This record gives sequence, structure tokens and C-alpha cells, in this order.
Amino acid sequence: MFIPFAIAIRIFRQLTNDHRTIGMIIGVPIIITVIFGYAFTGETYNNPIIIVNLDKGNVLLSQSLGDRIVEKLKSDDRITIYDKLNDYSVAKEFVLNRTIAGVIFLPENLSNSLIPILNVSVTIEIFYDEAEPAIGGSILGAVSEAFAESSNDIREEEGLTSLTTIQRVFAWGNEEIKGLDVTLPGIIGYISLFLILLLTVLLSVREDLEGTKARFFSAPINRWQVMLGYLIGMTIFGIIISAIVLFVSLVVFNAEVRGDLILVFGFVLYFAMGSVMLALFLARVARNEFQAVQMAVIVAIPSIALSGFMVPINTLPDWLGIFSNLIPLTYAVSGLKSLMLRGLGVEDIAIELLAITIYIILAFLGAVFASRETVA
Amino acid sequence: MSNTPEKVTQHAIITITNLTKNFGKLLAVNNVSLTIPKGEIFGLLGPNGAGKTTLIHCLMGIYKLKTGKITVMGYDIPKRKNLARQKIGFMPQELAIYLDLTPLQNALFYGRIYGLKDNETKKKVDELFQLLELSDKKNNLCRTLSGGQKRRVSLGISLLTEPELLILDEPTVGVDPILRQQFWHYFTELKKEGRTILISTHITDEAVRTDRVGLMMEGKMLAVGNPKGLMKENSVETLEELFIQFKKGGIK
Repeated sequence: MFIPFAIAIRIFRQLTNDHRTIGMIIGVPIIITVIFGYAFTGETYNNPIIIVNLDKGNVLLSQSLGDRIVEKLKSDDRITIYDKLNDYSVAKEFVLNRTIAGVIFLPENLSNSLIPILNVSVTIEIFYDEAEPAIGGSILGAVSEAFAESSNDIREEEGLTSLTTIQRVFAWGNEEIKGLDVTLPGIIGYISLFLILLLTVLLSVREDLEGTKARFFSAPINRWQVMLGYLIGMTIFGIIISAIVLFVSLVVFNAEVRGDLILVFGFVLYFAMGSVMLALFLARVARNEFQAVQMAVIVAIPSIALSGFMVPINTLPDWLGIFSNLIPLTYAVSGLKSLMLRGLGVEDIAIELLAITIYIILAFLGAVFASRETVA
Repeated sequence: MSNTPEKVTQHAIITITNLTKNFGKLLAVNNVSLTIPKGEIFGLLGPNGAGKTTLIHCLMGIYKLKTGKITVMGYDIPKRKNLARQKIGFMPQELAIYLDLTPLQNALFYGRIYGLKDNETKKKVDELFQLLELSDKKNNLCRTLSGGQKRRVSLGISLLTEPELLILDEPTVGVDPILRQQFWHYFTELKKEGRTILISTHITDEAVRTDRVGLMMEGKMLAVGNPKGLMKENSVETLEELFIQFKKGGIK
């Protein structure tokens, strides 16, 4: 038999023989999915936006409504004005390539809508990535307040009332993405990282503790075969874990996935490979189970806060954002959001795939390098 | 690289020349030379920490050597360790079985690693487990077996491939006297089949059963010879007394 398969089958048998482990593999994804599914709420800050202010004003007004709104927005900490442009479609491109969080479009006749005789009705548009609804909500909140306050000022100063409405425009689809749908990519990425890390680290450390390493590493095998065996065995668990999260999300919470599920699984599988390698590296560095578990937790916990899973990355302070870029889960969450929420394809997640490839290679080299003490 | 040994030394299964292995400042094996011919039961006798396990791990190619040369069945170690390992049955000092697996699952895993087909392994398991009185336990989780049963599973696994050379690192530790007798009876049977056995122990009663014994202490090989011959030469009744003489520096 192909030796890595033999190792993979052994790993599978080891885990399935332990009822508690099976319980963990099935139970933890369910519990975490439910908790995060209910728990997700929040306001975000410093979202970078572009303002397209085409409002030409009106002779009856001392200052155009558009300029007044922009003034108010400048002092709102929920947004940061990245740029001001005159071309709405150019500005939209910045959202689609994820440079900025959204575009605020103030139309040409915005001030005229205040003049009753002109009977002009216009719409302020907020164009944003619906895969980041917390950001969209913050921008909408900021614009609504700025508009209400500016209109009030004008009403008090000039006695005029606007007929303007505010409308959200979604970057990738026609519908808003809400609730669990939004967090699902993060949950899948995070659970697969956390459980695979923990299980692989424990399995690998146990090989030391039970003395099986002495026999295993005296068998006619090489360390590449061992790595590959662990990789195959644990990646299968990664797929099972992801499938359970998706199943619970789709069936219990009626979650919606815009993209291709096969692509999603493929991407999760690829990310899981890196997690297995990272775990093997940690297990080689750790001297016992306790250390190994702590290391796994140390890797896993900051990932929640910094990967864009719970808090959008562009709202983090710049110095913290640098750490985000170093966390593998950041790219997993970003890739999964594109595949699952934006309905994009593989060609659109090239950066994420490249980052995860580098992660796999580095973790693999780390695992090999850390086991240099023995020839085996 | 061909699969044939570089040099077939007549009858020599293990050849160790000036082997030294250190861990930092600790010299675990200090300039040891040894030849073990085919069909011999060779005992490595020494107190805990004498360097027996390190020497065995060097033979298995687990460690890099500081200096010296090892060939096992003609294969240079560690350079061609995997070719030698294919023909060695190794029972480590630790239990070295997966406690979450059944004895049969453990055997199937190692069988696959050594290139055995599953039905060959199962056949061999039936034969070995009957001999080791484990037949009714082969589908129980190893975690539920007694200490002696676990040791027997471990021994059984090292015999799966019918190896030419058996390296057993303290195989009878924690084994009751009856089972120990059975083990030794079995080792003698294997010798009759022409197998070579290297067995490490710190129990002197066991060492006298070997064809030749190597006395190790603090990494050094103090003496090698037939146990009864060594005792006679040094006018002592037991191997313990021989060790005490060593400490005093009175060995012949």
C-alpha cells in the first residue's frame, strides 16, 4: 500500500476509535457556529471611503447641500475620506478591487431637491461591498446623520425641505447579506484552523509520549512520507469539519452561499494543509501536550481578532493591520468571502491563494527544519 | 543506489567500529566497537543510563553519529538505514504501540509501512498472537489491555516481517516471570531458525541466557564475551559481581 495512505488510515482509525474526539469533531463546530451565528453585531470605525460629490449647488443657498454633507462626514469617526473623485464608475472600481470600503455618491441636483418649485427628487447612493455589512451599516449611519443634520441646518436657515432619499447599492449582487451568511466564511476558516491545529498537535505530541515515535521513526520510511501521511489524514478531517459547519449553517440557519460550494471546499482543503503543517511544526517545537495546546491557542486566538473574521481589517489601527497581513487566517477569510459572498472565482482570489501557498511552504519547511535532530 | 549491501561480511550481521555519540557535553556512547555474527543472541548489559538505548538508536539510524562506522547486514548506517530497517524487527524500550488502536490495527499499520499486504499481516497476526496468547484480544483497544499484554503486542509487531535481525530494547521490563520465561523460550526458538537477536537488559539473570554479552557502563563497552566464560575468567559467581569488579578496576 502507498505508505502515506497507510499513515492516513492509521490516523483516521486513531481518531475514530476515540469517542470523545469524535464528539469534539462534531460538537465543537456546531457549538461555535451557533454562538457566532447569534453573536455577530457591531459598529466599525475609520472605514476608508471615496466621495463623488457632483452637487452643483443652487444660487438660493449659501453653501451646497453636498458640501455641507461632506463637511459633516469629515468629522465622523466611522469613516475616513480616502479621496474625492468626480467619476462614479472609477470610484466604484476602488470598492470592487477592495482598496476602499465604499463610495458615497452625491448627485448633481442634490441642492436643487431643496427648492420646491423645481420639484426635483434625487437619490444619494452608498456603494459598498455587501460581504462587509458592518462596514456598510457604519457608512449608511454616517451618511444618514450627515444628511439629516445638513437638511435640518438648511431648513432652519433657509426654510427649505429636501425630497432626497438615501439608497444602498451593493457591489456584488442585488441583495443585502445578513446574519450568519456574513460570518460563515470566517467561521469555516476559523474552525478548520483551530480544530486541525489542536488535533494534529495532540496526535503528533502523543507519538512522543506513548513512545511510538521510537518505533515509527525506526521504520523504513522518511520524514516526507510522515508529513504527507499527516497531511492527507488531517485534511480529511478538515473537510469533514467544514462540511458540518456548512450543513448546520445551510439547514439550521438557512444561510445562503452565492459561490460554488466545490470551490469553497477546495479552498478550505488547501488552507487546511497549511494548518496541518503549522501544527507539525508546533508539535516539534513543543515538549509536551500542554505546551503544544498552548501554542495552538496562541496561534488561534489572535486570529479571531485580526483576520477580518469578527472585525473588518481596514477598521483596525495601521500598526495592528500589519499583523493582520501576517496571519494566514486573514487570507482564508478573505478568499472564502470572495468565493461565498461575492460569488467570485479562483482568478479573483489569486493574492489569497499565493499567500496561503507561502504559508504552506513556510510551515512545511518549519516542520522539516524543527525535526532536524534525528536523521529519520 | 542499488539495493544490495556494499560488502557482505561473512556471518557478521552488525559491525560497529569506534562509535561515539554525544548529546551536548554528554558522551552517551564512547568509542564502542562490536561485531555480532549471524544467529547469535547478543546481550547488551548495563545499568540504566549506560548507553544501551543510545547504541541501539544509532544502530537503527535514528541518530546522527559523531564519529565511527556502523554496518547492519552490510548496509551503512545511517546512510542506507531504510534498506537495513526493512530487515530488522525493532522493539523499543517504550511500549511503542498506539493505545487508541486495537492490536490488529497496530499490526496492520506497521505491516503496511513495511510493505506487507493486509491479508499477509492478518495471517501473521493470527499465528503470532496465538503464540503470544493474544488471539482473543486482537480487536480490543490496546488502552484496555494489561501491561504484559501490551508488551506482547509490541513484541508481536516487531516480529511481523519475520526479520533477519531482532533488536529488542529491554523487552522484559514490567513483564511477569512466567511471561519472561515464555519470551526467552521464544527467543531461543527464533535463534534456532537462524535469526540474530540483539537484546538489551539490565537484568543479569537474563544476560546469562545470551550467547555473548557486552557489558556497558557510562557509554563504554567494558567487556564482551560469553557470560559464563567472563564470570569464570574473573572468578565470580554472578554478572553483578563482575560489574562490581569493574567498578573497582579489577577486570581481566
